[in-house]
Order: sequence, then structure tokens, then C-alpha cells
Amino acid sequence: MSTTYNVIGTRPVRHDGADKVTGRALYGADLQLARMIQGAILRSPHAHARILRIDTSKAEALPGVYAVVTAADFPPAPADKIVDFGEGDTPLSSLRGNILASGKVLYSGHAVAAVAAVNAHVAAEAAALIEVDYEPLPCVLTAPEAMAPGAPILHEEFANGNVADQIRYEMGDLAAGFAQATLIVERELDTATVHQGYIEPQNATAFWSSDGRIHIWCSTQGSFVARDATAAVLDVPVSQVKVTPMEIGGGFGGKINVYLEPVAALLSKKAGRPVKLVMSRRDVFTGTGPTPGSRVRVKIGVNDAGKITAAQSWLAYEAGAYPGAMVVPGAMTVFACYDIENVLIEGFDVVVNKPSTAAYRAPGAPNSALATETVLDEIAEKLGIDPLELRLRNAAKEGTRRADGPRYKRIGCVEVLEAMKASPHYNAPLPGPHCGRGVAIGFWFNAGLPSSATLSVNADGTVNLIEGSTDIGGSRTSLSMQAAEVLGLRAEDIHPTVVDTDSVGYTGVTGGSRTTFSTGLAVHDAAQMVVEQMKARAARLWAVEAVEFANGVFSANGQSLTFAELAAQLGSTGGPVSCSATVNPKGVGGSIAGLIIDVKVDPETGKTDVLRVTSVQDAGKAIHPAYVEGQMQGGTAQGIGWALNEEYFMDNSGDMRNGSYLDYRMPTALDLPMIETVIVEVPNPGHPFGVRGVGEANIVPPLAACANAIYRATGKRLNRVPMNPATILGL
Amino acid sequence: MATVFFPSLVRQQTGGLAKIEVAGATVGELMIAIEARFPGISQHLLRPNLAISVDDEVTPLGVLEPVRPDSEVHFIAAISGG
Amino acid sequence: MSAKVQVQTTINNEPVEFLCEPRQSLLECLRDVVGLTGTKEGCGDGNCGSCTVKLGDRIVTSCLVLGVEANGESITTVEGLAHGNTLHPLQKAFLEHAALQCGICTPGFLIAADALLQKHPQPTEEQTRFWLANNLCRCTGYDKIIRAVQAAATEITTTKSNGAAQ
Ligand code: FES
Ligand code: FES
Repeated sequence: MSTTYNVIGTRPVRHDGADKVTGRALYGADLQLARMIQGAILRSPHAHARILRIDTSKAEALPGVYAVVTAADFPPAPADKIVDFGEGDTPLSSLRGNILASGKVLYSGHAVAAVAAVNAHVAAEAAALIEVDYEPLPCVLTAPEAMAPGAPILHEEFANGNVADQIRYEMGDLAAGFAQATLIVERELDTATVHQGYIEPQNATAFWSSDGRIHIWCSTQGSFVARDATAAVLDVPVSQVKVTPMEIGGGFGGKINVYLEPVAALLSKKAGRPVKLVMSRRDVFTGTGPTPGSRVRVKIGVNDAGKITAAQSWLAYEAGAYPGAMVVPGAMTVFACYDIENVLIEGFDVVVNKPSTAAYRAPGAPNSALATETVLDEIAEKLGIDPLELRLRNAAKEGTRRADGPRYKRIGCVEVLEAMKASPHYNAPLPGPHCGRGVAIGFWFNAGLPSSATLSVNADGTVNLIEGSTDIGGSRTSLSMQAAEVLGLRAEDIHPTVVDTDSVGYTGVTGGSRTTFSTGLAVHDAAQMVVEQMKARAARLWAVEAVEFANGVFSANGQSLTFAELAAQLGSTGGPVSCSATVNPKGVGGSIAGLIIDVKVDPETGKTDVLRVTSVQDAGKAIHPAYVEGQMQGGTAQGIGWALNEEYFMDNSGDMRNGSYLDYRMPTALDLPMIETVIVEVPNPGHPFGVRGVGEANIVPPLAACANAIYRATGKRLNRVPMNPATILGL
Repeated sequence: MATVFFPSLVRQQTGGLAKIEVAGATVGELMIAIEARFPGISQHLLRPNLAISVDDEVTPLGVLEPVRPDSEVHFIAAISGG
Repeated sequence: MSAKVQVQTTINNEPVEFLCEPRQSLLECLRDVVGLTGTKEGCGDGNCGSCTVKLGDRIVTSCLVLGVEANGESITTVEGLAHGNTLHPLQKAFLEHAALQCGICTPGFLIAADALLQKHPQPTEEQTRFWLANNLCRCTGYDKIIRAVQAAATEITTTKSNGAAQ
């Protein structure tokens, strides 16, 4: 009983496509303004040190330098002020502390001072002239070490040493559950710090005008969050800041936090000119949020029927320099795919001398799923059950209670597992020796949060769409398609524009897989309002009470007008039609993703070749299937890089030794095969078209799927990610 | 009466009690009743990084969200993602 | 600040003269001096390929070439791929196959793929992946990019042979 749509489910060319293939689209670093000058940031060479003295006089004296700022240039503010951006609270001191260090530096790469000069070269020369006296302190780089007694302490004011936060979920009777088990498997796995790796470095241009208004141009996942954070850091009202979002070259969670915006603003205030700051690639690696390294233990008990009787997990995630390690979502998702009665989960958010971590696609979930999904693989093997069958026997369903409390509404876990089982890939033989096939699944919640949209009808029958969700992967089009579906138009009849924070209602980040869902809902609601107003115009024109609207045609009593025909008559029936909607929706639908992967491991070199990959995900409803596939393929590729190769390689002093793309080595076109996709559609009852959001769950399974495939190829259960040749050969 | 579940780490304030049944028309009314029974508990439950879930859905209305007699109320971590 | 040098080039078939410092990269000259910001900077050290341009008859990562080295050379950037308002078959294929998400890597891929198709008009998947391995994309997992390049190759060859037949 699937609904039929005219536009939804088709694959139109994106509205911003021509600009993006011809080089016309303007990304943050492309901005040129009259009198604009450029900046550079001085970063700490120490992972942990007290700042004794900063002398900026030589930098200020260099010809061509306009301004130098340090943390001393922040306006005074109460140290304990809590800033709430609608998802979690951050103390202002942490927010500021990460932007420009004061008192201590907490990681190698921590920003200490900034310079604005006539060009970037002079700014870099001037930054090198800033003298900073440090008193180096011992550093601590991993969660287990940071939790040990006697570890160097990052924040003396914390009550529990380096443990910034703790979380615990419990359900049922754990001991009784394990007592019922006939097989118990327990494993502990570590993952390394990895980076989101977006190709476009962070950038921000700011102009602090003489009237006190601050205009920011930047590449951000959320212009309103960037506005609010900048205002909080600078202690000015939000209305004093306007953020114009430029095109954004990838984010994956890493472009939600602000790093440069307030610094550019402070420099601009001193210099009286617009100031542009652009990070180098090394700055991106060492100065922006990677995702946490982690240690996760999982213990699962099953009975002879393969039913899980109890599950326990202990998680310690590295927050980096400031709290917020994503251990909470890690803990919430560790068993989220399964229906388990007896559960205990304990999580620890641990600060270490690494860059402050940020969200990365289903943040926290890949780390914990790695442990659960490899333990389940081992259980399936020991019980002699197909690994997908074992998962099916325990799959979460509507009504299943998660360990953090709530029960699932409609969820596609069984459907995803069935689709994996039925896929041609799963039923194909492996190509030869040293090959192995691994499977795993994962869950992400997705998010709601506020979104706004305005639709204005043009006299030619097209519609302008104004929205505030920055477009990272085609959301202009997936939103336009939802408007077009309601209005009976074609996707090309909608003209979407992403505007600045003064020009549209509040809109949350493009993150949490929420844009197609939440902004989509705002667009849907605004479109319905347009339909109602247009009906009223037709009713006025025909002097009738009720007007029907279907497939883009208004009709009553045998008369009819197409949308375009009626649009042409708006002027004479009361004036233009324009409708806005702002939503803050419930009805978020979580997404389950699964991965099947075949690898071949060279027994001599330990190198893993990826032979075949199939990504399966519940989209709810795929608005633009090509973009859904793109999300699945992108998340899968990132997950494979994370599983097999990527890591922050830090020396004992906390210096990142592989802070370039050459040495960090993300997957290239040559490292991957085609990535097959299977879109499962279990409509989300909370969205008019059934949308769930597909940006994140796809990165959850690859770590475990790779581990399981490598086990089947080599007979080795590895306890560390990345599973690079050194790990595989046990070096 | 609606059922309010206490997060594991807040159960120190409730003497280990995991959930409680209380009467009220909104989450806010439930909270007044709970605060009366466990003074000071609200500050552990009504925090910016905890979202309120009523009948298995996070509500943007927070304490203003209406509850039914058979409603379940949870305090869960507020997260959105990447 | 050092003295500026005059550089004479042909960019996208038009003569362009500019002044630059000897230390400025070709990438910086294109973006900041000439104002052609279609070519992107992802790393500045030759490892991402987003700054790829055609210099003479070879493709280079323009962040590793000095502006002064371009004197007397002809350069093709992403802005020069389309003919007026008619997109290059690669540009069309990238749009039709959804081969871009954020699009920051796209200019570099288009230039590199154009050079590939000039050398190997019908590249195999392996050849395509090998050739494009210097261009990083973090959004797409490469699948749709490879398919778009192969579709464009077919399109170009078909158009050529149809043209020859007529
Ligand atoms: S910017 Fe030139 S290769 Fe990355
Ligand atoms: S499309 Fe974003 S990096 Fe390639």
C-alpha cells in the first residue's frame, strides 16, 4: 500500500549543480571583500603547558600587520556562564578556552594568538614573531591513562580528575540474565582518534562595523548556531551578529563548532577592516575536532536458542581537551539494535591532551557498535548460527525498550537484516583464499530541532523557497522536491535559496540527519499553507465555497486552473502569496544501517583489500534516491577508512606526526570498489512523506563489518582499530 | 497516573527508586509532585543537556508537554548528531 | 614583502597578465590575484588534488607550482571547461550521476578526468580509479564519480563517432 508520488523518489539534477561544476559557487574561502585583510593563528607546540607570558610587540611592529589578539581580548564574562545551543550545554569558559587558550594550553595545536595583516604570508610571518613562554607539563593521551591514579590533570577545577562526566543505563536484572546464558563472550576493543576529513578547511571572514554589528561569512553546518556561539563568546546580543553561510565543503559534524568566527571578529574590531581566516590542513587536523578515541568492553550472554539474555558494556571515550566525548550517544547506541531485557551500560567522558573532539556522523556509535557487533559475530560462530540470523532473533522492533528508557516507534531493524540476507552479495561465494565476509548493523537516532522555510509564489507559476539549512549534499533539491510534491509542481519549478540569519526564521544545524526531515517538514507545512491560500483565491475568483486541489490543478464546479494559471492571477485576486512555517517537530524516526563487506588480507604484508561492499539502510522514504545512495556510499567509505587505516599518530609528547593528507591517508578512489546500495523504506509515521534521515547510521557498521571480515579471512580477532597491516601482523 | 522514570545516576536522590507514578496534566505538574517527594531532584532532571521524552518521543515543549494517565516520562540525553 | 613579478599567461583561452610575489603559488595567484576562485585549496601541499589545473599539456596541483612558473604557459581551470553556456560532457555527467555532494572536490576531479579522457578515451574502471587517486573526495565514496566519468567517456566517444559518420 505504498503511496504514489510525482516528484518524491525521482532524481532531478540539483539546483546548485551548474554553479558547482563550473566553479561559480562561492565557498567560504572564495569570499573577497573590499579592504579585506587576512589572518593567521599561532598554535601551541606543547600538548600541555602553562602559558607564562605572551609578548606580541614584535608581531605588532611588523609592517603590514593590522591587529593581534589573544584570549585577553575577550570581553570579561562570568566564568561559569552556561551556553545552550539547543543540544547540550557548554560552559562559556570551555567554548572560549578552545578558541584562544588562556592560562594553559591543553593540546598541541591549541590556538594561542591571532594576527591580521595585509596578506596571509605577512600574517604568518607576524604570528611567528609572537613570543610565548611556556612551562611544559606532563601530558596524558588516552582515556585509560587519564583515568589512572596520578595522571596529569587537565582541569584542576574538575571534581573527578580527568573524568568529566559519567553515564549509566540499567534495565532488568543483569546477574539473573547472565545466569540464564549458556554462552558468554566478552571483548575489549580500542579505537584511535580519527578526523572527519572534510576537504574544505575551516574558514571565517568577519567585519565588525562601526555601528556595532558583526557580519560573519563562513562555511558552517549551522548558521544560527555559529551566530549564537559567536555572540556568546563575544558577549554581545545575538541580534548584533549576522551569519551569511557560504557554500560548505563537507562537515560530517565537524563544522558545527566555531573556531575562527569570534577570532576574525575580534581582529576586525581592532583593524577596522574585514578579516579572513582560513585554516591550513595541519591546522584542521591539530586544531579542530576529531572524533574520540575509545576503549569499549562488551559482554553478551545468550541461551542455546541464540536469544540474548544479558548484555553489559563499559565505555571510556577521549573527549580531548574539553568535556563532551560523545560517550553518551556511544552508550545509548551500544545495544540499540537489539531487544535485550537485562542491560548495564557505564560510560566515562575523559579529558586528554588531544584536540577537543567534535561530532562525526553518528558520533560515538561506531566505536561502541564495533564491540557489540564483533562479540555477536563470535557468538554466531560459536553457536553455529548465521550471523544475520542471530541478529534477527534479537532485533529491536516497535515497542522494544532501549536501555536509556524510551521504547521504539516503528523501526526498520528486521527489514534491514532481511534485505541484507536477501542481497545478491550475501548469497554470492567468496572469490578465493585469504578472503572473508563480514556483516554488522548500526543505529542512529536522527534529530528534530527547529527549522524554518518561506515559499513565495511567482506570477509565472514557479515558487521561491527561502531556507536556512546550509546545503552540504543536495538538500536544496530534497527540500524543493517536498515543496513540489505538495504544490503539484516539478522540482525545477522551485527556486531554493539558503539565506543569512537575518533573513529566515531560526533553523538548526545541517546535522543529525535532520534537514530532509525537519526542514522538509517546514517546507511541507509552508506549501500546504500556500495551497490553502491559493484555494481561497480560486474560490474568490469563481465565487464558490470549496475548491479542490489535486495534481497541481485547482477545480470547483467544473472549472479548473492549473497552479501556474492561478499564480498569474494572484495580483488581481488579492495580491501575492507568500507563506512561512517554523517547526520544532516530534516524530523523529531513527535509522538502521547494515553493511556486508568482502576483504582479502595478504598474509605476508597484512594489507587488506576491499573486494565488495553492500550498504543497506532504512531511509523511511527516499526523497531523492541518488542522494540517499550518496550518503550511504560516503558514510561507508569513511567507516572503511576508519576501520582499516586512519588514525592520529601521536608521539609521546602529544605531537601529531601524521598531520597531512599524505600521512593520514584517507581512502582514495583506488582503495575502494563500487559501493552497492540497498535502500530499505520503512516509512517514519512522524513525517508526512515518511522521511527518517540517512546521513549518519551508515558509518556505524563498517568498523565491525571490517573486523568480522578480517577475522573470517585470517582467523584473527583484532582488538584495535585501525586494523592496519601492523595490527593484523601483530607488530 | 503517569510513570516517571529516573535516570540511573539520579537514583541516588530517590533512594534507588527507578520509577514513580504521579498525577498531573503536564510534565511540569508531575515535576512539582516529584520535587515535593524528593526535594532538590528537579535540578538533576531539568537540565539543558537532558531532553524530556513523553510516550517515547522527545518533546520540544519540555515541562509544558501534556501527559495522559498512562504516559511514560523519561529524561534522556539531548543529542542530535553530526 | 618582496617585489612583484609580472607574469604573462593564457588562462582558459584568454590572455591574462598579473603581478605576483615570487613566493605566491599558482593556486594563490589564480584565486586571490586573478579572481578565479573555482579552483579550490584543500591542503596546500599537493595531497588532495582539489587545486588541480591544466598547465600546458599536463595536469598539476597548482598549490605546488609557483605563479611565476606559469609565465608563458597556458592554463585551464574549471571555469574554462564549459563552452559558453554549454556544459562539458563531464560536467553534465557529474550532475546527472549525482557525482558531487559538497562539491569542493569537483573542480579538481573535472580537470583531472578531462585529462584522463584525452589520454584514454574509454578508460576501464581500474584506469579511472588509478588516474583519479590523487584527487580526494570525502563525501561520495567515489562510486558516483567513477560512474560519471565513464558515462562521460561513452558520451564523448559516441558524439565523436556520430559526428564522423555524418
Ligand atoms: S590544495 Fe593542492 S593538492 Fe591540496
Ligand atoms: S563532494 Fe565533498 S569532497 Fe567530494
